[in-house]
Amino acid sequence: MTLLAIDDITKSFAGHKALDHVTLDIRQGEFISLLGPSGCGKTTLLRTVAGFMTADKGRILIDGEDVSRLPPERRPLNTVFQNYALFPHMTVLENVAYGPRRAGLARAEAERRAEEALEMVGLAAMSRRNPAAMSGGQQQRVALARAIVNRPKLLLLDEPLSALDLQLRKRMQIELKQLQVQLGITFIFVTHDQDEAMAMSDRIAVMSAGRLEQCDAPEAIYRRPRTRFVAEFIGEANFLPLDGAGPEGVLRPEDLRVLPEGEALPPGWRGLPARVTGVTYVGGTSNIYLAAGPRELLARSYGLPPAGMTAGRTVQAGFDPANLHPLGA
Amino acid sequence: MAARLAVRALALLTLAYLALPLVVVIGGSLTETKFLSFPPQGLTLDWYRVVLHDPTYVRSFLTSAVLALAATFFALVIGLPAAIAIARHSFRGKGLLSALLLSPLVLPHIVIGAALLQYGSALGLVRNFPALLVGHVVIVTPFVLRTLLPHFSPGQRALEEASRDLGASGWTTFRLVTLPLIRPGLVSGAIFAFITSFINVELSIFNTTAALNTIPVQLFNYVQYSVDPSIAAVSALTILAAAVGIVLIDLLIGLDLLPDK
Amino acid sequence: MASARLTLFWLLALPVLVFTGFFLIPLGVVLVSSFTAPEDGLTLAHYARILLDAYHWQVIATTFRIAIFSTLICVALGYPLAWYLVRIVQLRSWRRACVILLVLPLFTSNIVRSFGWMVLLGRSGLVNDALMSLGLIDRPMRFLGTETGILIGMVYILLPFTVLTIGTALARVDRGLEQAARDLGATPARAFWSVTFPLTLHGVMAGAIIVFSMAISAYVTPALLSGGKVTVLAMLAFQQYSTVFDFHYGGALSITLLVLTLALIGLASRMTRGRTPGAGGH
Repeated sequence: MTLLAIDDITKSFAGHKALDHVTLDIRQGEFISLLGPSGCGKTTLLRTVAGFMTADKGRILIDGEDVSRLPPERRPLNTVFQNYALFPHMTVLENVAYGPRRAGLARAEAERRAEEALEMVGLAAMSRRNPAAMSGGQQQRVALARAIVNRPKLLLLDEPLSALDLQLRKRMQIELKQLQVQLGITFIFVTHDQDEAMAMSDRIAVMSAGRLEQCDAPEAIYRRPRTRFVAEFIGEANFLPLDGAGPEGVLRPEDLRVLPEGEALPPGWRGLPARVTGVTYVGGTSNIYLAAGPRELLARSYGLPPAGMTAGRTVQAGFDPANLHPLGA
Repeated sequence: MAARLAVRALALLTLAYLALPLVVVIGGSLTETKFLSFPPQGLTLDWYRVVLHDPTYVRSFLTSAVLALAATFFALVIGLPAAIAIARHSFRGKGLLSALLLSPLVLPHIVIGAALLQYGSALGLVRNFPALLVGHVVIVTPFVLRTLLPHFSPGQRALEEASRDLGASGWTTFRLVTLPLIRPGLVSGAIFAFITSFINVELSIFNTTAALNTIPVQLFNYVQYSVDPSIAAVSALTILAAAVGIVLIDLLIGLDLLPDK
Repeated sequence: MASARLTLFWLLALPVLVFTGFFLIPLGVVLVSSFTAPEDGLTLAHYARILLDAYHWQVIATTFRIAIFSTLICVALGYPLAWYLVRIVQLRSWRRACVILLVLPLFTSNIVRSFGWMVLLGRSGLVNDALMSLGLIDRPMRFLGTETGILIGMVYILLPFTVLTIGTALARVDRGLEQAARDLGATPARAFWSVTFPLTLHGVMAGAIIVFSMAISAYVTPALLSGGKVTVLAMLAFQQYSTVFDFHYGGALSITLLVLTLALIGLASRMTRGRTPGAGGH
């Protein structure tokens, strides 16, 4: 069932198109990531859904109701802001109880709800603290508690983990995902980190220059990128002609094998002569950089690089054409 | 190193230069003699008693205090909405408007005073309390505006959005989020406004009379003819009031005018 | 969007009304009356009276001389003091005390501040006593009623402004830049003049503008310390309003003062613009 329908949204700033006819349906209970480089429009899209911006054209529907003209406080959703936006003049408990209070609950009841939400994020003991006196990770959890305490249908998260260090970030990714499953709330998660999007999402919407490039499940995005942009933004990609000449397809580095010159290829495989230009070994995998005529290729394999694989050596690069995915399909 | 020593010596001398008149005024107010003498001869608080029992001083002091309070009140009523409009809205002529509202800071007060006197005489708004008040409101409003504006930071905008996101209306957000966050600016702006009004001579001098006088104008008139320790005592009291104001601002926003790094 | 316009209207209604009614229009009235006379209608006579008269030129010259010297001395004394407070003082509490001492005069009436100097600079004041006991002079010097006396009082009142603007600029200078200059072979003095000073120039100029514009329009301090023997433009203008009641001629004097102030602010801000370093300022 569609919870949020983004219907042909266009938004310009001073002649620059920040959102260019974006249409996207998001299902109830889904975890969807908006992924793209900075300036691609993902934050603008999120702010338009939240109600902090009004689109020039198009509609936003939640549960079939057009909310395009509603102010943020009347939309059935909440947001976890990028720098948390915790009220510095209130305690943690007051921050979290702010939403229930605005919804008309009495102080005691609002605070009970807030305690509950804080418990959910593991911060029950810290409710009397001042947010400024907490670590980044704790502030992040308070922001999360504050956003879920009213049980919104939809939770928007604007790069919520970007300020955390790598370790904490990995842990929060798992906790966020668990929380989402437990609450059954639909999450829209803005990020520029492809690994984060891959690890957490049911679907990833890749954006570039205000356009929605592709929206699919993570493995589909990786295996069957529809555009050159998506192929290059998610992971690394080799571009090779589909058959001898003509349109190009995407071949992932782990599907490209480097074989000694003259060795027979597995049946059905295609091979092309190449020269090794560089070899790196990074924590468990080896990257072999190749030049095949004017084309630069990358082959990746587990373990150490094969012996004698040094720059300047002539080899053949082979692959199974079944792994060569045509763009635009 | 020699340069460093020279800078240090020059700086200390300059600080002494800054302290000297204040020391003289306070010291002179404590003298037992009938004429102003520094260093004081003997120590007494008699001159303060004289001042506090002099009805003209007391009346002028009250006039100044009420005037400064009223001017501060109106400066807040005018300055706060103006600051919100300038900080949060985009409109044509914004630069012009802020220049207009801030210009009394740099324009000669004597000219503003003269202008108000001439204009006021046509309206009957002259040599009475409202005449004093409008002038003071014009010159102290810029202080409120200038102190408030830096308090509207972009980070604060995110907090207001968070409040809206959590279900608060625009007005509730202003009351519960914006206002508490700009309160330090509001308070220090008010203190600046109060003191600026309280010590003003150039503007008040056009509209004061023997019956309606402010403390600085009265001092100004006395000082030109006689110098006795009671004037030093009044002056010392205003220095004390200023020191209280500074300490208040220091406690509220931190007087870290010259940061370390 | 319509509601945003309405909000804006309510926010700006009172400020615009008050400042138009009690600031713009009064200044307009002064401007108009400076160009009119009761009998002749439109006239330039008041300005001619100012500009064609040697006495007025003398007053303007005195006003400028005092303003220029005040500005120069304020910068010359303010820079070392700012340097001392930002770079030399280590003890936080001492710096805090210094800053309070620096700001305290700003919160005190001009009268009180000038009054202190009247006492100090009098014939048997502390300054003359000190100079005589040091053997520097044999007879008391006359300070009150001289430009020197006015200058001492003016610099005293205006010095905090230069110290604060220069100090703020100085605190923002990246010390790494000076170290880089030293590393490249500059002497400390060379590093100061080629790196630090240019980066604080906008602070120096900002302070100088404030001091100059306040000095040129100052009334109370010159009036008190001049003893009626030195006249500046603001005193002349005030006389016309308070004792002569000639609003037309007084208006012309006021407008002259206003134009001089604004012209100087404009000139100085044009000079600083484009020279403001990107790294130091904001």
